[in-house]
Amino acid sequence: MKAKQIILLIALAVGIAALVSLYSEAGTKGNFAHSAKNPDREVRVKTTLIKEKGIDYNPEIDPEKFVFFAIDEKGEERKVICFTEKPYDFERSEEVVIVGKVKGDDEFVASKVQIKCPSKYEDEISDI
Amino acid sequence: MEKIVFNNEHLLPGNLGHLFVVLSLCAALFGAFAYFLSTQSNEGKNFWRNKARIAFGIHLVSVIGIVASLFYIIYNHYFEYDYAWQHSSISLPVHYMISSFWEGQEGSFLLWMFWHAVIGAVLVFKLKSWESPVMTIVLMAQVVLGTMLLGVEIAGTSIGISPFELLREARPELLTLPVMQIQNIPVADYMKVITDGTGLNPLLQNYWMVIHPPTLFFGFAASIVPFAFAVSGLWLKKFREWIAPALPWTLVAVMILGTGILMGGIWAYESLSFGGYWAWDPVENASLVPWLLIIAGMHVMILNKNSGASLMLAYLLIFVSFILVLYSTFLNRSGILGDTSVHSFTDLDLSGHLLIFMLLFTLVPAIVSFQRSRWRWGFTLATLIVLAINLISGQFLTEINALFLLAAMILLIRNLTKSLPSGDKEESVYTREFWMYVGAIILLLSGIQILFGTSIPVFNKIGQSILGGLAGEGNTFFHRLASGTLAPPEDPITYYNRFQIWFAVFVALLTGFTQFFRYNKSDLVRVIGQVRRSFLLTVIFTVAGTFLFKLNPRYEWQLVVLMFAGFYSIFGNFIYVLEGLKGKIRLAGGSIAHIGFALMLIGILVSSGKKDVISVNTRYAYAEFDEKAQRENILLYKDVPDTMGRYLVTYKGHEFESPIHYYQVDYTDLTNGSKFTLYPNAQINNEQGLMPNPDTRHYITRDIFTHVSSVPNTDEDGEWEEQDEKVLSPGDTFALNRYMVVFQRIDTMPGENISADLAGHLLHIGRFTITSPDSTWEARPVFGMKNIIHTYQITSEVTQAGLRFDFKPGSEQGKFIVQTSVKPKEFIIMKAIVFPYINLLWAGTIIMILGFVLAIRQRNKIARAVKEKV
Repeated sequence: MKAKQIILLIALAVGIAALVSLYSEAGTKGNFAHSAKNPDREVRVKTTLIKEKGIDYNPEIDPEKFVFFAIDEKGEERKVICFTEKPYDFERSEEVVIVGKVKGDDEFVASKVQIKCPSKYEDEISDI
Repeated sequence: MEKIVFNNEHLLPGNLGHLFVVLSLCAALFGAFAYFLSTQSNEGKNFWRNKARIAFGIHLVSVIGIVASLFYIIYNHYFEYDYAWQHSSISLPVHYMISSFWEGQEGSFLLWMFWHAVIGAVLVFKLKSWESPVMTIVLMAQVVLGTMLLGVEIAGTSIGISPFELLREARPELLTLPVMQIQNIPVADYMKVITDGTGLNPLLQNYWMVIHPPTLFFGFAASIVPFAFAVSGLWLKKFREWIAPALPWTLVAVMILGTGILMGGIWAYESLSFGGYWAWDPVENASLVPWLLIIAGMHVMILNKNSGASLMLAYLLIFVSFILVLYSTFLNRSGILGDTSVHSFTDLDLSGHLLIFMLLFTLVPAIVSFQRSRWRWGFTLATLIVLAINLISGQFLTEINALFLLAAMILLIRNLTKSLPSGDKEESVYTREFWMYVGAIILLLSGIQILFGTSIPVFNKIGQSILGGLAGEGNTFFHRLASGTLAPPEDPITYYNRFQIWFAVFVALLTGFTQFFRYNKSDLVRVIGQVRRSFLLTVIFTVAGTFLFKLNPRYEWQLVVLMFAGFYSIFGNFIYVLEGLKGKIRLAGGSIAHIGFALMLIGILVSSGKKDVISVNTRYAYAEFDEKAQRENILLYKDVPDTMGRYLVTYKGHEFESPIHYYQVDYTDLTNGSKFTLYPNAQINNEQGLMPNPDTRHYITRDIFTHVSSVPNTDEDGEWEEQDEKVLSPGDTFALNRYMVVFQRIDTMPGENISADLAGHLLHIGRFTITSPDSTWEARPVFGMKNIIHTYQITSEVTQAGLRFDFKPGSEQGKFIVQTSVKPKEFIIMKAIVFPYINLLWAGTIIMILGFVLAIRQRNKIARAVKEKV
């Protein structure tokens, strides 16, 4: 066997290893029900903030914890305990993407949160 | 219906712009065709070339005309144009108008087109015999880009989006705003309500963002030149001759693209709050991958030029790298990355257009790889049919295109195998070409691994459309792929670094020793001697570096190995310059670039591997501490000093200079008493909320990087909140708002001592001490008694602690009712990171770019010499 072919074989092996690692490390998008079925895996859930239920945040006690209620696209509601600093203007946000795992029957523990506020364009229109 | 004549519009620049778009497109189309004929025909060669040059001249002038028209509109704040309204505003400084120019999708394609035109102008003057085929390809790209700016509707499908579209056409709802009815403004005078644009995204208002995207797009544009040369090589059956003239251009693309990517890193470091210069964000990855592949391709071109080997790999790498440039633009600009990237851009309807661009340029190499003209025409026809089916159906047909592409790729490889001259003589491991080949393969693998992770949203789309019906239930990889629910790795740093660190180690080692081998055959004894010398120096420096950078060889052995490889590359190249090249700096471009690259690796491994979040929060007892072990933010109340690592930090308050909020944070170094102040700042925007900008203290050996993570809503502060009343006796202690309060005692004093008005009142002065970890204050609320009647009370305020005290007699003897109020204190939540030795990274960057400059000069000289010989 020629040296070049050995190199190509090794390269192929590494390429397959890279695919396998993608297989095991890629994240999942889903809803609360998915997350409940896969309690060991972090799931990325698109939710809507339930503004009426309020947001609990006490930076003096813990600046990296806040609690709110959210409803996923399937209509399931959970209490979300989020371990990050509360994003500015979180109260105003509509769509909230949370990454984490379910806890118990009605909670979800999130390690990441991304928010989307009403768009700039709509604001401008209403400003005029 | 009567035609409305609108007032206060400036239609001339927009009409001119439109005209230039159409003109540039027609000129490019004709030019590409004429260059094509010039390449194909024998007698008409010069005739068609001259025609094509005229067309290109018109094209160049028109492109400059488009740019000038659009800039004129932005510069003069003509908000009747949608582009100016969307991307700029009156208050925008001139240098950010350049950023407005390319913020939108249309503008960024215009920028790309502009760079192609500039590069084309140089090519026309420099290329001589390669001009016609190379310029055919460049002008083809211009045709595709030009149609993106067209903005006309043909048979129900709109082609492109014009940057000169009027606001009232793009957003007709603006003409019927309630405001106009209320103020009785006729529709024709709608410009009276459009007084300002919506402005530039605040994230982009940074000086690095003025130069980073144009540089990146220049790099993207430059990468078409090696691609066009490789296509021309196959087209004209000059299978190897294209390499020498294409090399300087390939190096230019590598240098500019690399500079552009690194500028993006500097921008991220200076103005984003993700805590560093590189986050493996999809947008960053998308431009890194083509860069890695062009570098690999460039090395294989050099290898082939000197030894004749690995020609097919050179072709494939150059083809793929350009297609990945297109793919990268597609990822960034199509919106497919959605919520997976911190800076994915808006979605306009150009993504289908971009896909067609990619498809076409993937098929071009396949077409020219056929060496018989009958097959070439046949395959061209097939390509046109597939494109036509896409256009007629009005959408990108994933399955058909994917199958056709697959077939084209197989045919390309088959054709290349058949027609390329084989350079393989005896295969020896003791040759330079062998190790360069290995290096190129490693770079390719590195690119593929990054590409996998970055392409997950694309896999989702394809998976869903092809396997959608087979999804079923479950959570396997297959299920997630088929149902489109794959997400990028939630911990990208680990996912990428785990592989990339080893690719970096091998690449660095290879750059260290490969040059000691010669092409074809090497004297092994000499090579070993030279390698041994650089090896000795490397060991010494690695041991020293391990101590200096405080690496733990047991837990951070990967970093130690990478540092070894980095130092090995530095000394290997250094000795090669001294001995192999006899110190001739003008020949040493490659080696200097290698040294810069190795220094960058060491800078990255130390600054990222040993980066230290000093704002780690250890003070509070967390009920759920184990759910997230690491707290990386610290809460700072105004004027309350707190310790953070070796620093005492105090938040001194905030100032607003529209549109930026500045937060003053004083640092005192407890080890030597030195002081400095940082102003991490933020913009607060309706749509994106708080957008923090870090502020960094630079030292030679480390940076202290600070940004706010959260601030209280500014309109909320200032209100006193009354707490529940407490019934207390002197000597009682209670906790209030993280302070300890002690009700020490009560002093009494006759009112006459203060003023005659108070005669007969007995003043009771409460003595409260308020203690925080760092200071103690006293509060003295007062109440007066006349006989047994409670007459009045005086509030005592402790401003520094934000507390108020009132007290009055209670119902029992010796008991008092204490009323406290709390003012929410101004605070910030802040993160601070120390990046050690980050200057090694910047120094390495500069050295690498310098190396490229030298290499370009040298390769240009060689290319000219080759031409003269011919």
